[in-house]
Amino acid sequence: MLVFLGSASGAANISIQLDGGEFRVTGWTATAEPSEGWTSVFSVYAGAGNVQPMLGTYKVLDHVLTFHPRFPITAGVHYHAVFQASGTPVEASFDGPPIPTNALTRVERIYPSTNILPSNALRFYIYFSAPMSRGEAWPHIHLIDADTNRPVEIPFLELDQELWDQNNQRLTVLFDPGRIKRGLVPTNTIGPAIVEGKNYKLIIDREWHDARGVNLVEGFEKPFRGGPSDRAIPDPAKWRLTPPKAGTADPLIIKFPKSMDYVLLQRMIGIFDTRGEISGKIVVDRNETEWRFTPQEAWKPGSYRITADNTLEDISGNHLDRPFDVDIFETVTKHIVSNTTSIPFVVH
Amino acid sequence: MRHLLAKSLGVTCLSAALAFSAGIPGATTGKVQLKSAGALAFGNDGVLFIGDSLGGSVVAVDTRDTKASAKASSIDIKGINEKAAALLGTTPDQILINDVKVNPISKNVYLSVSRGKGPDAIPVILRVDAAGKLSEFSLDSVPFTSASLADAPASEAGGRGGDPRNDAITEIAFVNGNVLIAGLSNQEFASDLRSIPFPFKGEIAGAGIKMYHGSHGRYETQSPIRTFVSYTIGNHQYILAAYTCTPLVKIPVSELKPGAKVEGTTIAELGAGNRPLDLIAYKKDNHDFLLLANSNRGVMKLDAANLEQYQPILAHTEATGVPYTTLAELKGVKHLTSLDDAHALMLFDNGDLRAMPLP
Repeated sequence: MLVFLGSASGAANISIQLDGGEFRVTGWTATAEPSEGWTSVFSVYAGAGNVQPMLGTYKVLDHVLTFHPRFPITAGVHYHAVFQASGTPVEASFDGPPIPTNALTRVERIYPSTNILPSNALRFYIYFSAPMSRGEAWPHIHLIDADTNRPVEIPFLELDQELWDQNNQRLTVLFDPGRIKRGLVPTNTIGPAIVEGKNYKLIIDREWHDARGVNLVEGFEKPFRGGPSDRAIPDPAKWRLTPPKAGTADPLIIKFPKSMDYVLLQRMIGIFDTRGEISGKIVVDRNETEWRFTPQEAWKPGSYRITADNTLEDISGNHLDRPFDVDIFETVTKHIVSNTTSIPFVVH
Repeated sequence: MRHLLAKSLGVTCLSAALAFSAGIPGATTGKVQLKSAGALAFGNDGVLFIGDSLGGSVVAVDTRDTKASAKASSIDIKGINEKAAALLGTTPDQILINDVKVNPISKNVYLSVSRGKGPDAIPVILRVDAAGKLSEFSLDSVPFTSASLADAPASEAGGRGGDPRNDAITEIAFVNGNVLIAGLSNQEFASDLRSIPFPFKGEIAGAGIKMYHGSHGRYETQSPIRTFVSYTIGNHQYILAAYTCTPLVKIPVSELKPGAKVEGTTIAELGAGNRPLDLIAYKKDNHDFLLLANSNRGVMKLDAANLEQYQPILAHTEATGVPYTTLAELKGVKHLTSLDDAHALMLFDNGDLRAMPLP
């Protein structure tokens, strides 16, 4: 059977090469594929122990048998290739590129920026300087009661499907809504995660791996104090506007009486003139109580409006038209259904 | 201004060839372009639903894996994470097994896997046969359809920044011809349960369903469903849903309609400090049970006889309602799914995948 497969000019001359991401048998002339498939004569293994051969496809070009792995050659993997057409097997080992070890990635910032968080704060956003690994978040995020130096018991909604942005650089960490809301069982049995007047530390471990598999440069600590809970809607009537002057590209400034959600502020407020939405740059500042919009072109005199999505939230998840934990059966029929809130202003 | 609330559920058929598929009328055959592979569920006729959180869609694939097998009860694979890593040419620490489900016809096991953990991770579906052999279930040329869960397309006028909202799909189930999808957003708070008729067709707008606990002053619950199972009580179809810390809630499927405000009834409180992981229903010696795997409270066996008799839990309470026992012999169960009439399949935290007799 094996004689049909090919011929060797002598086992000593058969060798296996890894070249261009493919494993190649040289010194042996491949002809017809055996009935059990090429894998019966040539397999490449990744990892130790009793494992199946790697997935991939075979091709024969100019009588040279080549294995093309289904996935690219990977850092840190030890490959073991075995060829046996007849006689003594020919084996070869290869290593993927070395795993990087130089720490480069940091926690850049955490929102809310304020160091007094309402006891019903809904979430943190953790921003990293480079993409991170999925599936490792929960062991590396800790909420510590700084007064007792003890961890707060499962304060966060530990979803296996971690809430990353598209690039794995921003993780959304939700406090467990069951602990925030009034009346639900967890609040009554283990209490809210944050208590007014107490001191806390949000701690990020250095041992969390970035997408290259390397630890962070250093850990990160965000100290904060528990404030009163906030169950009031963020009322746009209380926003203070500083309209810019015509002919300038000065920013339009909106000041909020309380901190708003950083991520939603990037995309839930728009500036419109009579023709439509105008282009510009948004900056969020002062513990997310200030939103500044610098237009691409100088302001023209005339009427404008600020339009905010009603799903814009403060840091406790209260929407513009609905607190986070409204008793919906009582109030849902009362509010006017509208998706946005408009605030007019004039540029002189 | 784009309507950030507006969600569209669109049907996409990404390839041209119309194929006959017993399980998916009107499916096209081609390459399924997944961005991620998470929650899995089987429908009828070997149709596999794959939750793609990053792609914002649920894909229905005809596996054509419909050769009936009564049993696959001998599965006992040590370190399937290591075996999967070797098959995929990487190291075990670069493998995430996101979900495990059994094809109820063939009893083959399907795993949704991430090869890699970074933003360039590659989603893969692996299949394990009764002999314990792993193979890739290739998505290169299969009959499929998909339903998009993404936001309305972003037309960011005004140069507004920010990346699009992403919905993580936490659980999928196929119930009475509908695909039920529990999910959670990484931006504005939205935890919802959607019900999409299958086969997917047309544009389905605003199919989000708000869920409310019936108990505790009728507050809207924002708490997301962690796991759920479909269940018939009397002549009515329900889903039994488990939440963090750990209420078990029954929700009538007939009320799951787009835009509906559905009131669930809490029938058990299974203890604080706990995340429910997976829930299955089964029958043994003509008696109904539920099996619930938990993060901190082990695997619970609940007596599911006469679930209609439990009164809504209205008072604040530690643990009450449907009686249960915690199975001391089952430790470290990360995933739990039905295998056959006498076995459940369990993935343990040490990487072992094992068929276990139903308790």
